[in-house]
Amino acid sequence: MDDSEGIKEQIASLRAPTEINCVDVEFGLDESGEPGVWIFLHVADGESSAYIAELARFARTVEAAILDRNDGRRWPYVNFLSP
Amino acid sequence: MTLHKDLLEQARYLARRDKKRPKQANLRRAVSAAYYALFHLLVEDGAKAIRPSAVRDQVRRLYEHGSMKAVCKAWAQGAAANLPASTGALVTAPIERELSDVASAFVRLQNARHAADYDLARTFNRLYSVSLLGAAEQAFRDWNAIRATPNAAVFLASLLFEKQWKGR
Repeated sequence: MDDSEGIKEQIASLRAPTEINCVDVEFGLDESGEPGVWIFLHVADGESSAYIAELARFARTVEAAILDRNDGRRWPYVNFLSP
Repeated sequence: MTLHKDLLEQARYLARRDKKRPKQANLRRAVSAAYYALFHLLVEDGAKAIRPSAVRDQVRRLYEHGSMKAVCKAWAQGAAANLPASTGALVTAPIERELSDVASAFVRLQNARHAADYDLARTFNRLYSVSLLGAAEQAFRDWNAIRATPNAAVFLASLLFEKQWKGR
């Protein structure tokens, strides 16, 4: 489902390890030519191992939720950006 | 040190090298090195399973990035039902969470590696690179936890042979 607002709502319903200031969603084809959705989560900066590990776990949570949402038709590429 | 460990170390160094205004080149090369670290970790373990050792260099060259990513997309979904039937029949359910997480990290890192090397419209910031480095580091830990399992052996074989299996 190419519904960026729906994706944003779904992400908002998940328990994030940090405040998500903004979500950008882009649709396109990945380097294999397959449909993908790029999800950029704008969060607070940080480099501690614990923070990075939490972000990694949350990326998997988002990925699973979006795969479930679109029946695997678009692979979700979840990335984090800081201000 | 082995190549995959050296690449992970290089990624750590590059991601944090510039204290104030990180150079795009360093952040991008960090992401690329993080991907190749995981790639070579899996290729190395896949090649080690082949006897005699003299043929391992030839085996390493058979791994294809695109094919490996396609395989990882299936494994990352965490259920044998998502795998091609020929592979699913070899899997012992349930697939270990760590194994599906390794596959997920591979997909994510390969896509990011492609952006790092070719997408100049995208700006890499430190968190973006460090979080991808973190994904590679976690994948190393996850792989270490399950590398001796039967499912890990099937996963390694599918990374190399899935395309051929599908054609049969």
